[in-house]
Amino acid sequence: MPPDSLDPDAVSPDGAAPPHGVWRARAQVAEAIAALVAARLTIATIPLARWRGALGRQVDPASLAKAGPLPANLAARRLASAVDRGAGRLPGETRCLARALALHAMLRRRRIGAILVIGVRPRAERGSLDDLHAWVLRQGETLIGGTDTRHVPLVGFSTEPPSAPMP
Amino acid sequence: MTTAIAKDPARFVETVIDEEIVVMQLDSGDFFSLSGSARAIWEAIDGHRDEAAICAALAGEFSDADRADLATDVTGFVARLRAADLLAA
Repeated sequence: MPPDSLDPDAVSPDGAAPPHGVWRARAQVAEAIAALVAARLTIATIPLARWRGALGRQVDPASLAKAGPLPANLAARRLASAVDRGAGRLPGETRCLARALALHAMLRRRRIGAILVIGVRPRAERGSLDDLHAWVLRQGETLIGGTDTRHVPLVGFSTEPPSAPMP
Repeated sequence: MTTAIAKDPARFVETVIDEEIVVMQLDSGDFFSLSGSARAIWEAIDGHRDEAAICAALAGEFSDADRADLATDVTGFVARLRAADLLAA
């Protein structure tokens, strides 16, 4: 079976497929599919009040603009890629909030700090299903949910404790 | 007896975007876009004013509006905020 060419780890520079990378990538996609199914079910059936606390500490969206320079976020990017690929393998549309929730959960499981952000388009630019949007940030880098349109952050949920700086 | 109207900040987040205020109710996930008189009423709710005081505060800003209409608007809007669980009990 050919390696999954979308995974940066799945193919070595000379084109050979390292088995370890391939299997890890597949395991992450499988984990992402499970997380996406859980996220879609949660969003569809459970009121936000019941699972909001599990998202982590609520943070001020204004603080999101103070992110520093981008460090290497390779592990987090890999997980985001796995979520996008997993979403592509599920029936029906997996919208931004489900993707963000799934990635947020996978990052939290690995103790990788990140912020799930929910934002809204300015009124003059509204008129589509994308008026509300969710994305995941890590140290200023959008891991999943990046768009070409402007969304103003409304609320963020961080997996980091209040006093600890982002690793 | 009049009762001061107060927001319940634990139940929502808000942000100002251009001319509007967007409020998200954190328990339901519902979003509210407030502009014009709705924004003015929302901003006038400070935990100290009752409905009459809010009307009085708005009368200066909306000098063209009939005072009775303003009172009706405030009463209706406050009821909607209460129904959305955005106000303190």
